[in-house]
Amino acid sequence: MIRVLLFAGLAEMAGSTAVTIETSEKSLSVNDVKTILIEKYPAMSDLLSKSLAAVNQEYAQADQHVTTSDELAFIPPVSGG
Amino acid sequence: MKSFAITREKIEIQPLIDYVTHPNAGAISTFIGTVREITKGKKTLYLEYQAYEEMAEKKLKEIGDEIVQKHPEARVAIHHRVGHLDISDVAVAIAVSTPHRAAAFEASRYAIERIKEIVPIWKQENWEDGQSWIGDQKEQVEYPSGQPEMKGEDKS
Repeated sequence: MIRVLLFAGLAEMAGSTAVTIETSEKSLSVNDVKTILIEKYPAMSDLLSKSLAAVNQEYAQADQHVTTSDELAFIPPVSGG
Repeated sequence: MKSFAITREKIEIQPLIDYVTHPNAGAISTFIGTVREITKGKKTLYLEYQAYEEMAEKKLKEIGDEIVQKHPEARVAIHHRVGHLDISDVAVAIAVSTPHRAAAFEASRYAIERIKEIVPIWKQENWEDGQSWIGDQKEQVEYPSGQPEMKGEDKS
């Protein structure tokens, strides 16, 4: 089970700021998680494709693998300041 | 006081100025970002800011580190507010001190531009006729390398 943090528009689409991905694999790539999320929430497709991933609070590449102990988050385009 | 912070409280600028004040400083530059009422002809009622708080504080500190790398004698403090903000409320405050003024001006500008690139904070505009999360103010949706580029080294 991998826990995914969501923010802004993504959180709204999921109706939650955190969702869990059930998997029998030991680890999944960031991209795998993206694909599973889009299957679960098709409305997220467009915004997820524009979002970055962060693993343990550091920006991560799509091929980086995450396990149950990692903190994975998807970061929609930011608008601070 | 935390020098890099995400806060729900009203931002006071003086503690940031006090924090960067230093005998070797000859200049302190401050930047204050406030909530604007009219954007592209549309009237904002209020903003709602959200952050990935722990990561956002780390990224604010990283911006401070980038500035110190370029200007070793600089001292930096940045506070960004989250939650409900009304028109004219302070959303972000930056204070930078350096021995000479040019670096202080440059670093303060650098900090606010970097915030808009790498710090996970989002604002939701609330208008009379609806609301929307704002993204991509710098039109940098595509990150070829998978993450925002580091620009610390080549800026003069």
